[in-house]
Amino acid sequence: MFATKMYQSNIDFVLIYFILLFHNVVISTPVINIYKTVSLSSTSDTEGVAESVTSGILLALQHCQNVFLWDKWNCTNVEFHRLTKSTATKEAAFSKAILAAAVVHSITRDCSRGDIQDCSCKPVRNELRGYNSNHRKNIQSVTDSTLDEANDSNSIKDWSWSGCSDDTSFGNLVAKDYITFEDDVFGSVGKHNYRVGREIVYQTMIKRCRCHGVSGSCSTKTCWMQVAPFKDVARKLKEKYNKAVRLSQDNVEAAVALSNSIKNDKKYLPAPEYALVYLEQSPDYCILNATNGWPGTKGRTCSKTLSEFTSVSERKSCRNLCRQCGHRVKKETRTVKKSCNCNFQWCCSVKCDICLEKVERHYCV
Amino acid sequence: MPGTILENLSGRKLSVLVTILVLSQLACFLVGLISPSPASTQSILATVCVDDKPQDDKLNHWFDLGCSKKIHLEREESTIGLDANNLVFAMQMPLHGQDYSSWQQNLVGELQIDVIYKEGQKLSNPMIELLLDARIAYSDKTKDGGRTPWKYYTHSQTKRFMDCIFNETFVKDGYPYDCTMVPLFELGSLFHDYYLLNLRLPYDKKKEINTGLGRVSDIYLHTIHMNGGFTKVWVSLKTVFFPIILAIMIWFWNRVHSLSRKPALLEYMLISLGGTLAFLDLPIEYFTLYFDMPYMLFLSDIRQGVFYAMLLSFWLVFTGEHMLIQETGEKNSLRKYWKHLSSVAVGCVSLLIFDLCERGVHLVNPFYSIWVTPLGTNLALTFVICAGLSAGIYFAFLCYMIWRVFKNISIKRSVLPSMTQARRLHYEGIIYRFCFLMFATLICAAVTICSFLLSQYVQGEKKYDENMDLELTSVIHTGVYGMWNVYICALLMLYAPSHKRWPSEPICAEGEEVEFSRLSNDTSTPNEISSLTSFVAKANIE
Repeated sequence: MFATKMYQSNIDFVLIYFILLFHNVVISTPVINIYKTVSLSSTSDTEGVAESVTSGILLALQHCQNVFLWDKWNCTNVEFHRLTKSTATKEAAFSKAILAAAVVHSITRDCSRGDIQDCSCKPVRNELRGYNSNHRKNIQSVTDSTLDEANDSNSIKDWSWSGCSDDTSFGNLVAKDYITFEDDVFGSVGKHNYRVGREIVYQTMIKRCRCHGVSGSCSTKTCWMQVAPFKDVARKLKEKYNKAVRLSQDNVEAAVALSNSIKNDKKYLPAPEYALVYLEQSPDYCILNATNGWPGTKGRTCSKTLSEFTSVSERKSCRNLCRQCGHRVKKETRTVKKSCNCNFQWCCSVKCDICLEKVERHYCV
Repeated sequence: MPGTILENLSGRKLSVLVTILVLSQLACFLVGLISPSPASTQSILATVCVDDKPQDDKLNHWFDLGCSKKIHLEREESTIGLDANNLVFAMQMPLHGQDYSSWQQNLVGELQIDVIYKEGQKLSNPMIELLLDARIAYSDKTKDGGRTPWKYYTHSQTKRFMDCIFNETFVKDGYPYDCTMVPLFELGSLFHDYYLLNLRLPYDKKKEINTGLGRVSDIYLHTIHMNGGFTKVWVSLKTVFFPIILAIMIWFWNRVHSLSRKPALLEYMLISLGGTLAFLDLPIEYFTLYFDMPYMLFLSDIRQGVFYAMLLSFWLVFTGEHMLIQETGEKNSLRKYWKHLSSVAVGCVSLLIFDLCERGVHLVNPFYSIWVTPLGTNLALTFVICAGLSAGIYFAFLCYMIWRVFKNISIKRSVLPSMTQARRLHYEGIIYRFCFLMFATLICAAVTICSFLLSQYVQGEKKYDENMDLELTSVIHTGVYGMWNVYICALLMLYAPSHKRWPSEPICAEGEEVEFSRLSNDTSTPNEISSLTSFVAKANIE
C-alpha cells in the first residue's frame, strides 16, 4: 500500500518531513524512497527506518548548532535545511556531510536496539563503501538477492559460521540510498560531501576490546568497533569544514565529464578523498538576506567567558560576530533565576534549589 | 638395553619423519585459513520498558522488545513520574532475527552504560558503584517457526564499579561521559536459541544503592560468542589429532612393555604427557550439540591447565635426566625432582584456585566476579601473583639446568677426539640430535610467544575499513595448537625405546647413511634410557 505513494526526490521527502515536523504535524506513515532499492521485510520496518531517519535529521541539526554556536553562520533551522539542498557553499558542504553522518549514526543505533529487523548482517560493506556512479544498480542487486529464499538461508548459515560484527552497513545503505543526486556539477559535489559525512562515522569509531581466553586471560582477545558519540563526529566534521577545499566549477565539470566517459567508478573530484569540497564563495553572513531568510549577526549573543576550557571560537566570538561585522558589543546585566545545588536521583528526578544569579550577556547591536 | 629410536634412526628416516611433521604443522596453519575469526561480537542497545508494578517482583515476568510501554531516556518528559524501579532494560540476544547455534559455544556479556552530563549535575564521584539486578531468560524455536515463551534461566543482584571521565574542554549539556565498560556475565554454553536479559538499576537512598549514578542515556550490552565456523575447524582438528595421539601412545607403551626392564622415569613422563594431550584433544565439544553443558568453559580451562602443567614438568625432568651426572645404582623417581616440580605445582594450584573462584562460581552464578569486592580482588591478585612468581622461579630453574647440561656436554665433547672415529661419530650424532630436540622445543616456545604477541598486535591494530578476509588470529590459534600436538607426537615417537639390535662393532659408512650403533658395555647403568647418558657413564669410567 505504501509503494503506491512515492516521492520523486528524496530531498523532497526530507523537506516535507522536516516542515511537517517543525509545524508539529503528526504524520502517521511517512513514505520514503527506500522502497525502491532497499527491500524491507515489513511495514513496521519501513516506519522504523523513517523514524530513525527523522531523528537523524534532528541529531544533525542539534549538533550543527552546537559546533557553530560562536560562528557567524550558526546553522539555524531554516539555513540547515536550505543548505542540504542544491547550493555548494562551504556551509552547505558541512550541512550535507553532517546530515549523512547523522542518518548513518541514527540507523545504526536503532539497528542495535533491534527496532529494525532488516539491518544487514551480510558482508556487503565493500559494495557500500567508496562511491561509484552506478551504486544504485549494485545495491539493487544486493537487495534483490536478500529476497531470494536460498540466499536468505545462506546468510543464516553465515551467521552461525562467522557471526555478524558489522552493524553500520545498513545505516550506510540507507544514508546512501536516501539521498539522490542530479548528474551535474552540484550533484557530484553534493555526492562527494555526503560520502565524506558517511566516512566520518567510520573514521571516528571507537575500538573496544575484551579478553576471554583461559581463565579470562588475554590469550584470546576480541575487539570490535563501535560508533562514537555523535558529538565526536560533529567535532571532526567541523575540523573538515575548517580545511574544506574550494574547487572551480570548470574543474569539476571536466572531472565529471571524464569520469562519465571512462566509467571511472572511483573518486572523480580533483580533491582529497576525505576533504569537504565547495564551489561557491559563502555570502557575507554579517548582513541580513531577506530572500534566504538569513537574519544577519545583529542581535546575536557573543561570549566573554574566560576559563581554561573556553574554546578559541568562543573567545573570539565578540570580535568575530560583532566587531568584524561592524556592530558594537553591548553588555547587559540581568538577574536570572537559575537552578543550583542540584541533587540528581536515578532515574528520573532532580531536586534543585532556585538561586538568583547575576548574568552578563554580550550581544551585537 | 637398547636406546631410543632417536639415536637408532638413520638420517634419511629421521629427515622423512621430520618432513612429515613439518608438513602436518603447515597443514594446521592452513586449516586456520578457512576458519573465520575465533569470536564475534554484537552490540545490543537496551530497550527501556516500564514495569508498572515493580512491587510484585515475579521471576517469570519478562520484558522483551515487544513490551507494552517503552520509553526513551533521552526524552526527559517521557520519564516524569517514573521511579528507578520502574525501568527495565531489556536486551534480546541475538539481534537481527538470528538465533544462536550450539556451535557458538559460549557467551560473554559486557555492559556499557552511557551517562550524560547535565548542567549543574556533575557526578560527585567519577568512580560509580553500581548495583545491577540482572535476570536471564531463554527461549527456543518451535517446529512451526515460532518461539517458546521465555523461561527463567538465572538471576542475580551484583555489584560493579564503573569509572567515568569527563573531557572538560567540550563541556556541553547532554554530552556523554567517557565511562569504562562493565563485565556482566559469562555463559558457558549456548544451548538455547534465544536469550533475554532484563536489567534493573534499583535506587535506594538509605542503603546507598546506585546513588552515585548520573543521568543514563543508553545501556549497551556487547555480547561476544565463539564463531560456529571456528568451533567446527577446531573440533575437526581435535577429531583428527585424538586418534593419532592415542595410537602413538599405545604403540609407545607396547614398546616400553616389551622390554625386559621396568619403564624408566622419562618414559612414564612421556606417556603421561601423551595422556594429558589426549585429554586436551578429546573432542567433547560434540556433546554440547546435544546436551546443555555450562561447565565447558571451566572444563577447557582445566584441560589446558593440566596439559601445560605436565609439559612444564616434563621439560624439567627431561633436562634433569640428561644432566650427565649419574648417581649409579639409584633408580630415578619423581621424588628426586620434588624441589623442581614444586614451583610448577604451586603455580598451577594457585591458578586452579583462581579459576575455581571465577569460572567455577560462574557455574552457579554467571554474573559473579571476584574482582568487585576488595577482599576478592586481593585474593585474586594473590593467586595470580603467586602463579606469576612460580612461573618466574620455574623458568630460572629450567634455564639453569639447561645451562648445566650444555656445560656438561661441552666438557664431554673435549674428550671426544681421543676416541675412535666410529665411536666419535656416534656420540657427536647423539649430542647433535639431543641439541636438535632442545632446539625444537625452543622454536616451539618462541613461535608460541611470538604468535601470542602477534595476535595481540593484530587485534590492537584492526581497523574497521581494512579488508578482514584473512583471519590471522584463527591461523595463529590453529597453528600453535597443531604445533604442540606435532611436538608431543614427535617426542613420543623419537623417545620410544628402540628394538634394534646392533652388532657390537659399528658398520661404518659415511655421511647421512651412518646407522649409529650402540655401546657394547652398557650394563653399568641399567635404568638410563638413552645412550647419551650411558656415554657419560662410560666417559666417567674412562
